[in-house]
Amino acid sequence: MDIKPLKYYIGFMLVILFYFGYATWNGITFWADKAEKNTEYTNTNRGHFGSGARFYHK
Amino acid sequence: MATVKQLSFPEPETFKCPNCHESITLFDPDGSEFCICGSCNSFIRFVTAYTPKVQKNVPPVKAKPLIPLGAEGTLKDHKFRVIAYLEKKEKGTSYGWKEYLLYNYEKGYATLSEFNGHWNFIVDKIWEPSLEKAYSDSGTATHNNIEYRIFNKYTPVITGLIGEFDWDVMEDHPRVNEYIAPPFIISREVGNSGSNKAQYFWGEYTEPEEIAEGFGLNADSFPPKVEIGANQPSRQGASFDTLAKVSILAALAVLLVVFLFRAIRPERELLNSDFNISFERNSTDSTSYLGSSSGTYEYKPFLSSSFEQPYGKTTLEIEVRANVDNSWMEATVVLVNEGTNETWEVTKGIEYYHGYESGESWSEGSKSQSIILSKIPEGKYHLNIYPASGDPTQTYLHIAVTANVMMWRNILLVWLLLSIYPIISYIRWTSFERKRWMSSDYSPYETDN
Repeated sequence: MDIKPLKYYIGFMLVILFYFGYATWNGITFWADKAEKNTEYTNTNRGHFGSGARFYHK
Repeated sequence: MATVKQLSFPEPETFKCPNCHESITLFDPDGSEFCICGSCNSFIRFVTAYTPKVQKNVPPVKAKPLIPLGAEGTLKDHKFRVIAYLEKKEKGTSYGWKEYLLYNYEKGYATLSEFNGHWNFIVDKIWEPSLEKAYSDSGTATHNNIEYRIFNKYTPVITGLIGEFDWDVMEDHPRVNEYIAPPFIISREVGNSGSNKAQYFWGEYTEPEEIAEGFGLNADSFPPKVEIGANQPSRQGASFDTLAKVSILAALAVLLVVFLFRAIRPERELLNSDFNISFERNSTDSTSYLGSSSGTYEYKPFLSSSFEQPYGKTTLEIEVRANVDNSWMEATVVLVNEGTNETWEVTKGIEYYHGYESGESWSEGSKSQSIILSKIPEGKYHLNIYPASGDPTQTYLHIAVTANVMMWRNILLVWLLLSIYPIISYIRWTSFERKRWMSSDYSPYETDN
């Protein structure tokens, strides 16, 4: 099996596999839902509620 | 017979053409029986070693040989001297090619052929004894367990020649079948020297740079390649088998990584509960519900029980299910880290409609939705849930939270990335093959004709 002509593809493949392993271990999903971070503090973007935070959870 | 089993090339000898008395050089004087006078185009036979006799006139060559007669060089690890040059064409067509007869002092003759800038190094059974076992039918030939596919059938005609031969080349009127298995070619000739026995010749596609280097010539002086040679190897085709194997190994490595990590950190259910939901009363009118005037019924927000995410960073799936029936529900779900107060908020709509129309049942939507959150750190969490619906009869929401779920989409994406190059390579290979076979009447591909 002569892999010399495929050296660039194999390099690309190893990068992909390495990143896939890193992503799998760190719980990174490529199709995550878009989550708003830390909205309970500002609470300005909840569609059907105009009020402030309902829960004080500190 | 060409002089063989020698340790070096014989010394060239010259003699006078019996017709025009011009000087002719023989490069294998003891082995060559026929030669052509480059001046008067007489075809001369040596009746005895020292008795040349003009037999007939032959057509002169139209082009000067690219590799001059008498040139010596090394090709395929053998030393050769060019002793003849022929111009040929396919009978009944205008397709012409050139052949250089190469003489080796150990084994005899080999041939270099050139058509449209594509070169082949061709040998007979003296060089390739396994040709004795070669066999063929109208569609395929087999040699050394390699199957060759028929590419062309023709009768060659000599249109010009110069040099020397150990046989009467003008008496050759073979019918030729050419079979290919790039970079190799098998030529089956019947009718050489009046014989009806099939003779096989084996050729290998040879880059002009290799020939130029072997004979100390400038490769730039070689004719450029036109179209695709009959047995020209495809770069993609040559490495595709290896590429396919490597790609399959990579695809399996992806699965191995997944299953290895899942063995260390298995999928774990962190929460799985039904939550009763109820309306929020209007603060100004206790008989109506909040938002009911706009058709959106806002339910009381609620908290889930706490749960522990035990892994490092992981993927969380939050499944929200409601018993919607021709209605919708929307839930804003806030994941709250009780240790850091960090939050992740996602709003999902659940809708499910069905009916019966024009004699057919139909349905659309789903009673559940999944929320996928990425890189959720280890810690204690709960959910804040803010439901709303167009249906005031909803009584519960089912919530399930799972850590380290199987992310098939990640796997599919990586497989897709890994397959891009093999797919492109395959397309280019088949495109190359289609172009190759456009020059053949025996193409395995469908043609417009």
